[in-house]
Amino acid sequence: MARASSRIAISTGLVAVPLLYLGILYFLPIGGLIAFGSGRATYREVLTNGFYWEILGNTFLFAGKVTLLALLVAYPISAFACVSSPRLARLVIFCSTIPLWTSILARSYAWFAVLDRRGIVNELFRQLHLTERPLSLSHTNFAALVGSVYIMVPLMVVTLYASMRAIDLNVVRAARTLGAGPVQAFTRAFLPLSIPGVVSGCLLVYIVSLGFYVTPALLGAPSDRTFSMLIAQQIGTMGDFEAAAALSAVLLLSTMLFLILFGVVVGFEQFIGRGSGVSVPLSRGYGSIFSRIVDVAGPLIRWAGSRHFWSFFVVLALAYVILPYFALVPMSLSGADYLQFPPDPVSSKWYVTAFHDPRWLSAGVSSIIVAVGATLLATTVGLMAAVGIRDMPRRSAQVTLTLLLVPAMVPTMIYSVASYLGAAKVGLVDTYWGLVLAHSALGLPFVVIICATGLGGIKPFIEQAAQSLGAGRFVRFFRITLPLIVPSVLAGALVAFQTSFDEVIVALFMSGVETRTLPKAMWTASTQEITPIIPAVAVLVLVAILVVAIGVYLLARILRPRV
Amino acid sequence: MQPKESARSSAGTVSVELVGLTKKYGATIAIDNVSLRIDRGEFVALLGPSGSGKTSVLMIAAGFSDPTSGDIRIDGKSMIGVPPEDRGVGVVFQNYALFPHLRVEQNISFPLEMRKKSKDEIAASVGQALRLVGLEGLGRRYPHELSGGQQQRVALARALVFEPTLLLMDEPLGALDKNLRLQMQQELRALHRDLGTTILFVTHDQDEALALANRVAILHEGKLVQVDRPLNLYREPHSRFVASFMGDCNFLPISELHREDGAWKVRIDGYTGSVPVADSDARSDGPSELAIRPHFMQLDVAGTGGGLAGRVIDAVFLGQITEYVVEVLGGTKVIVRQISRDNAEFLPLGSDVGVTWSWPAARVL
Repeated sequence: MARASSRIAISTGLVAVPLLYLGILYFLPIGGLIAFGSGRATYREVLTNGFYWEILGNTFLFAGKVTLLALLVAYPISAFACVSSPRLARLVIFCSTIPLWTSILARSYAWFAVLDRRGIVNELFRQLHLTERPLSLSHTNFAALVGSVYIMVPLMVVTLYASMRAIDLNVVRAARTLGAGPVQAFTRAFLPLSIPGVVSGCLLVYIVSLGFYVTPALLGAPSDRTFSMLIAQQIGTMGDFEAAAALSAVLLLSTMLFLILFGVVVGFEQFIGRGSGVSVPLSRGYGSIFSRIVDVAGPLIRWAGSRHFWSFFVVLALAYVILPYFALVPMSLSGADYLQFPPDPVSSKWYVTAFHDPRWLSAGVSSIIVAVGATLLATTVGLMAAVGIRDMPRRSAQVTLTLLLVPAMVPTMIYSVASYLGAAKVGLVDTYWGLVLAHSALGLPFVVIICATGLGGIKPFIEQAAQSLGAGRFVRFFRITLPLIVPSVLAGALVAFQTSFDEVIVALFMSGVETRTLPKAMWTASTQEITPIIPAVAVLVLVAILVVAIGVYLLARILRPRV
Repeated sequence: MQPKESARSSAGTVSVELVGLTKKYGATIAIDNVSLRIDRGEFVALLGPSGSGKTSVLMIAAGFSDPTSGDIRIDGKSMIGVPPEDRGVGVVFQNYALFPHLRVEQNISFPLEMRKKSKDEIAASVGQALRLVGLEGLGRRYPHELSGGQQQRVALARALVFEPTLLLMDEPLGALDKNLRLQMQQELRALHRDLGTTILFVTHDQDEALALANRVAILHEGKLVQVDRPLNLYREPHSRFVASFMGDCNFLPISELHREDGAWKVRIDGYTGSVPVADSDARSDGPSELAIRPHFMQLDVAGTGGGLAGRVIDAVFLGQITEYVVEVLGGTKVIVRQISRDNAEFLPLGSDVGVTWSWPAARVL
């Protein structure tokens, strides 16, 4: 017993640091925020204002639409990957998840470039003489939806695929031998078994979608606001922090309800490849409902399930995920002062501007400083957490993991307001430290997830073998465990870097003149007149993240264990 | 890893001692009061079906878990509270647990580095270990570049290179195919003869235990039910469990039993005979079953030799032997194995036969 308890003591110690870290940097400011909102009679004002309720309803509705559409796009992609050869599957999953590794701001701008009045679609239509006047595509509910679904598809694909891969395809083959046609075998065997993945993917995407800010703010109509936009507005245009705090508390509470639902139905352990995901009964219940729908809608589904239609749909879905990137390039090469397509004359002047204008240059430097600092902190603390969680008893590991993942699930706008108020108290507003610490809290959950998954992948008894051969705790960690999870640590660091490098919402309030980051500079510029400087900088940001990603990939290749 | 003459000469002194070892997980008892002494240089197999607690014993011996009560002593010193890295016990894990990021030679030098040996010493020992397991020239490879059998040898070399006082092996041959397993058994026997290392070997495979070990300890539901040399275990099982676990065995209810002139006088139905009393058997009453191995039984087709009347209900030709299932005593099934003879016809199913056996080979349980 002595051995087990000392291991638990050490793991508790290891986990205490990250919990304390998040406690001070995340939970404390959020608590402060909730308290702050109750300063006046703000809560009553907020809760009795029908206008706020309407926007809350809109936010729920919007998140629901995004989730369903993302499912519609992602399901065929994931299912296709599941039944494809491993090589093709890797390619499909890689292509559809690249966006995860790139800037959300750049991705939203890409859609702007596609849908703007002078964007690619309108220009193409004009030149083909399909339309007389440009269609109002951007700044519409449609644009916000298309852009947001686009942002969420990768997350949905990852979640669905992870769960679908566990389906034994022999079950589908068995159904065929028992007399089911290909479509029936799919709907009777594959579909019900994929329901757990669908449930967890939808819940996850829904929760993240509740916090949408950047994309709808950039692409949507002024009338359809999300709750996060409402909060930003309270501060940005009215300077009313109390109201913003109270509204944040409302959004937080709504999100928590779904988080709890997720915890009960799916469980957070599935993020680190432990836990069982959704229970089989769920799959049974929903499965039979699906089968009944399929019986009724049989002919339609038979048509949709034909191989050609399916392949066509997958190609279309992949094009949707990949192509918008390429919209940024021609837009950024414009010689004019406004967005145009095709660029005429072609010019690199906006890139030259980006590198010569001290505002953009210093913003780039700030972003790198902040991102590097946040990455170092998040990776160190996150790795400690992952190692600690592994040796903890199941129950406490669950609780700890849930707490550590909160910053990735709760709308960033809430934390943005909270961290600003917190930083103001200790004089960290518009300082590098303020941004670094806040960004490290946002990157931490990803490091924990990725490192914990890496640790879970170590074959059983490797570490016990080292111990039986005479290696003590530290030698074991640095010579066996750490080398084996180097790729995971680097991947975690990369995501932490990207999280910070791409972060707009916290930077919106936290960074001022001194520490203006690139995303903040882009954001500010986009609220003024949109010139090709923005797509140019977006391309540069994408290239920068790509360069870092490739660098990390090469490093991981060199350092990875030969297994 | 020098061949040790000294090991043989000091054989007989106790190397490892399990004393009343008990391990409980909540209300479940994984190991129940297990005591076992292993002499220096002995090769002991811990044999039991899955769930019998054998891996728990191994994990306690290696130091990965502590017993709920009882003690484990190595060279007379209690190991309770001594962490695995300080026990000097070599372990060969079921799936080898080689370090995938280290070369073969780095895997093998690992325990020597942990013991802060000099570079020259390490190089010499690693070279010797590689030779010992027949992997010269493969030291620069990574584990995944080796076959299963080669990985097994690396694991063995790694666990032996620091000359542990005890070598624990957890079903180490389980992942190998049959031919390779037989070959590795042979090599293990040779290695044990040469090095004289004390080995505790966990397995669920009786054949493996019989082939390798000097002594076999049989574990059943957490209890040690019998410890003996392989031959004795086979010939003198103390219980129905051991009799059926160590090879196949038929059990017949005894109608009448009494002890006379150091032997059991047994009557089953109308068939009588005399069975030797085992040395360890101090009972005078109570036992009620006769255990006979299938190959000690014969079928009497003519029906003249006495024995139990029975009917053939199944017959299987297995090449060298032919196996009959015969129903006797109105429902008890017995298996009879006979050497297949040239031109011998199968007895048709349903044939009435007499079942006889050589009484001295039978045991009263």
